[in-house]
Amino acid sequence: MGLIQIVVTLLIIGLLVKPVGVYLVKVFNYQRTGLDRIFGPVERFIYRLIGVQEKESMGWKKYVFAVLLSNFVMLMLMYVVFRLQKYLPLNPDGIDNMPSALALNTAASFITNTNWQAYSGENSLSYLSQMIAITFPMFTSAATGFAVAIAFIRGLVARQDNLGNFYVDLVRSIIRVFLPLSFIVALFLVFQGVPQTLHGAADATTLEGVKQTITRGPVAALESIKHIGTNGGGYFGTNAAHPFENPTPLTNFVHILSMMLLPTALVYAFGIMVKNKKQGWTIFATMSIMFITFLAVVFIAEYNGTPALNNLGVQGNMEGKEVRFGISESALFTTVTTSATTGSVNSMHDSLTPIGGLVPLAQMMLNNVFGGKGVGLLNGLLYVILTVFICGLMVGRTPEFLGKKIEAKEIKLASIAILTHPVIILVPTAIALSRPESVASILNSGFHGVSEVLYAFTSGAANNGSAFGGLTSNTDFYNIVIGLVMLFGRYIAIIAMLAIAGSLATKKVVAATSGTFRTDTPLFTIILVVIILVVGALTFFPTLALGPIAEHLGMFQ
Amino acid sequence: MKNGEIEVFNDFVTIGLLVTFFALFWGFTLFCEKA
Repeated sequence: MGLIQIVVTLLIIGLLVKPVGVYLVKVFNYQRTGLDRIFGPVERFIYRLIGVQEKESMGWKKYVFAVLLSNFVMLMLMYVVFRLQKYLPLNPDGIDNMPSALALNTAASFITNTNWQAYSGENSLSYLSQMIAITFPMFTSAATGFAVAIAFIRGLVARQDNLGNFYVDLVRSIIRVFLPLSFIVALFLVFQGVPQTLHGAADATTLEGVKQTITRGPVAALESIKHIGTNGGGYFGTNAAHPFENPTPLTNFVHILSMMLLPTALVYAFGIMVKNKKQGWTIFATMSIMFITFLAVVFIAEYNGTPALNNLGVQGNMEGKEVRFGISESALFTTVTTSATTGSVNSMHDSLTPIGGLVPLAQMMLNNVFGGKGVGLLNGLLYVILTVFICGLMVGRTPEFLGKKIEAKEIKLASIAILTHPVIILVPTAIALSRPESVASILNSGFHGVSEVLYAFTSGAANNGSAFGGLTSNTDFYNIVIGLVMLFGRYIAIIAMLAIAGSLATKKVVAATSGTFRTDTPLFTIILVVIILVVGALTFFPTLALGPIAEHLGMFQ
Repeated sequence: MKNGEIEVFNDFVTIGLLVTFFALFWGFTLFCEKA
């Protein structure tokens, strides 16, 4: 039954890839649609309000500047709101200001689409903070990732350094994609019982006569964009395991669908925009192979449980899982949330079996199995460039991708982007494990404790945001270091990819010949999967051996 | 650090840190141009 649920969910996602992908192309190619009459006036009003010239095009450097400037301004505003929320309106429960290190961490987390939460939303944030410093950047950070991916695609097919207009892409993403989808999903969630209110916490008396305070708020609005925008930050500390965030199996299905819809459709849209649908399907197949493999691993691991549980006659690992979802829906959610870099959880990852826990870690380390809004596709294309280069060396030809020559500059920038990821995971992990104060935050000893620290920095670097749990990360050290890791993980890759796009945009298209190495074939799919896995294994296997792999082997002693 | 307090020094340092890192990202942009 569990397997059938998974297959049906994936089939529905698969059926939506094409229509949603076609719609995304219309949005970002500025094609006319019947919806222009509704969205057009709103967009023009926003352009006038912020002083944007709709027709103005940007080169890659100007595009980067617009990304950094807009994100920095929003980051500062978020920080100020967190630090002053006690004095601001819409705070019926009298929530205090956030400490500065936690405010830095939270602002960096939400501007980078990570949504790492070192706090519990129900007792750390006012309603105003939840709405304008949490929910609002959920829209803008997702739209920023989308805009950057679209700019990169334009660079691949452009004849000059013209990547579009960042502000127009940002506004169109929000108005034509994220807002309408979020509105529909939010209504559905309210229908299923998710709260949407500005009233303060409710006081209730239990059957035993005990007084209970039930926190609530504008949950449905946050929940919808949380998954549509692959953000992941929950309204409540227990995220999508909380019955107010994810009350029924049906809401669980909608959450999973929301997470996968746009990342999968964007890969299809990529194929259309570069006028080579086979190329889009090649990358789609690569990501799908890795996704299905990782899903199978976590599914089998959780159904097999652990030797200790089996000795007690318990089949499967239900620890940390909600009964209303069971093992299969928890396994699927875990795989989806770390492949789409959402970071929400409907079960506690700390309670996964060691091999089950290795899967989310590995997906965040690879960071290109569909991936979050736009950035996942960008990371996938980084590996495509690397693969084209390696294959070019093997056959002794100048590497080309979509008719553009891949030369030293592109390889240097791609290498920096690819190498930054392990550096900002492994170096902070090593520092944390060498500091007694940081080690004191680990709640589990041994190999599992290593996994907890490794997971925290991997989640930050991949802009995923899910927590393994078992780590008291609300300390100045973890707040500041993970905050900076999130910023590096986000912007270094974005800048490097836009620089590559700018470089490729000015190159002439070389006509394909019989000697051209094809990048839209099943053979290329296999090579790409192998290179991603080999590079990932060479980089991260030693740390995985010290964490989940050692823990797994230890279970059989 | 305690909740509820306006910690001018900590805020100054935190904002300074963020400004520095965004300046670094712009520096990286210029590096990419030259690469």
